[in-house]
Amino acid sequence: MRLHHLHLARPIPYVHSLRLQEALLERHFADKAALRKDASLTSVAPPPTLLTFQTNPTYTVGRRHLNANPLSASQISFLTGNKEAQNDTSLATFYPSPRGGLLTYHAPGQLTAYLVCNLRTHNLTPRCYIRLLENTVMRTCAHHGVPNVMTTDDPGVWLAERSDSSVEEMADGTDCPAGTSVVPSGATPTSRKICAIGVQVSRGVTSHGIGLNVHDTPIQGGVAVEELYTLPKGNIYTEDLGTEYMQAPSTTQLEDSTILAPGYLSWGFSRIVACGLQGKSVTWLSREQQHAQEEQGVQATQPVQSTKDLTLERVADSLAIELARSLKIEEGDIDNILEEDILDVERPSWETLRILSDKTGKEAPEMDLGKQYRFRDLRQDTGMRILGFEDNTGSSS
Amino acid sequence: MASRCAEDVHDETSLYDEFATMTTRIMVKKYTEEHEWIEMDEGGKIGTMGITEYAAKALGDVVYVELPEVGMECNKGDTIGAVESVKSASDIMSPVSGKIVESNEALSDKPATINKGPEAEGWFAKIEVQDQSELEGLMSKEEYDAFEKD
Repeated sequence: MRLHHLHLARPIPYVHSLRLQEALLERHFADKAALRKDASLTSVAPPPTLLTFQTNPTYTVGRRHLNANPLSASQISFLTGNKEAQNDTSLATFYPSPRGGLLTYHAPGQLTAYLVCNLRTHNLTPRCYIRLLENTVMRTCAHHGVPNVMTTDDPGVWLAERSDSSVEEMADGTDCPAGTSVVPSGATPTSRKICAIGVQVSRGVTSHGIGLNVHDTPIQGGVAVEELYTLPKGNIYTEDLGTEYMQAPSTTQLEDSTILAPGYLSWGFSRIVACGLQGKSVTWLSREQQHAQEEQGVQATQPVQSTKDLTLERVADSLAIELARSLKIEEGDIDNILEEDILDVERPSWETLRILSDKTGKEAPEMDLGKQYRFRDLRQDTGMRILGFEDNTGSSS
Repeated sequence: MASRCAEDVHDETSLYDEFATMTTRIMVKKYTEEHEWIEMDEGGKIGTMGITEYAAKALGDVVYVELPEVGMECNKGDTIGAVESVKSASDIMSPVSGKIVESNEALSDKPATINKGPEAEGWFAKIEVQDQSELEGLMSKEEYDAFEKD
């Protein structure tokens, strides 16, 4: 069995990841439907496919959150930083999502990784699959100098209090196949979360996955710090708008003190109670790697070297290797694929869209691409029921 | 006990009813490859649906259920809702085409009911079946048990 890995080097709009996922899911569903009609056919479903990428700043929210606390227009406006100005450029985008979990954030500096695979092929239950993903992430962190990580009942991967324990594998006494559990002995979690997890399973095929924070990439484009931290007019915090999920942007959310040059991650996460978990904060690999090295008394020159090694691409590669190991696939059987391998002619690759957009100066949904390309409302096709939010542009692509 | 109090008699009667219903149930409960079940009522028009014991165990503790709207029309295989654990969401597909006539609202307050009785009190929704022949294509309990063991 092979593992396909598509790594996108430059940040993409979040919807593009959905487009790629949808293409893969459709192939799986079509294959299943065909096999159901004629069991003698050979399966032509794609192999497990890992998509790794960074997105432009975006908030995504699961339906569990939306149902309990439908987000109001003001809240969404706050998240996206919509301004009354003529050039209404949002600071972030916002999407409801059918995956499990609550409210989270993706941005440059975070390695977002989605895995589309047929659980039946790997003989996994959703519960064991989650554990497999968590273990894969933990081993990836360990590979990059941050071994003190663990999981709890709360979603995600957390930093553990430093101890002599290291990441090791053992059977955890449940019904998951042996080797899919990684438990640092006697570890207690800190309140720092390094990776978020939220998965969807549809007809036995997985989608979505994890968001592993790597760097707090400084915010580009000359946005003034004050602007990033200004409360919108009318101060929505005085209204009762589900403030357990949102909060005034502050630096107390982060363990480090003052943020002089906010990065995408520190800024974006500081404005929400990520994953609905109060009192928790967010961290990233480069910072934890530095802590780990400081504690071990490593010399000053070495951290610089390691930070250079800590590129999104390297972490993506490590993740793919660890994932192959989890799925019992040989490392040599990992194929690095291109977007064209996933998208068919009727759906343009992101590169094509970008070139056309540069030429016409228009956003993708407004481009007239002729009959050759079709844009579809993802919500209708994937059967997602979106509660409490309608996309203003009228299209989700 | 020498005397039979009212309660004893009541229990006997209800046990009989249960037995009678059980027999009927075993005859008309069908299963899908996506680990859903559907059980037709006596009239043969309305089916109660849910996820199987196996699916509930595979998912883990259910913390949220997205139920279909009453009146929703769906085709066989359409996504009609979802069942969520803390970290994942699993879509529920309709085993047959028809119209949703009832959703198990109790699951909104107590999603864990699905874990307790996925094939009983944790039922998901009831559907007015459009095409009875679709039921023929579904698996019986024996077929499903064999399928699930693969």
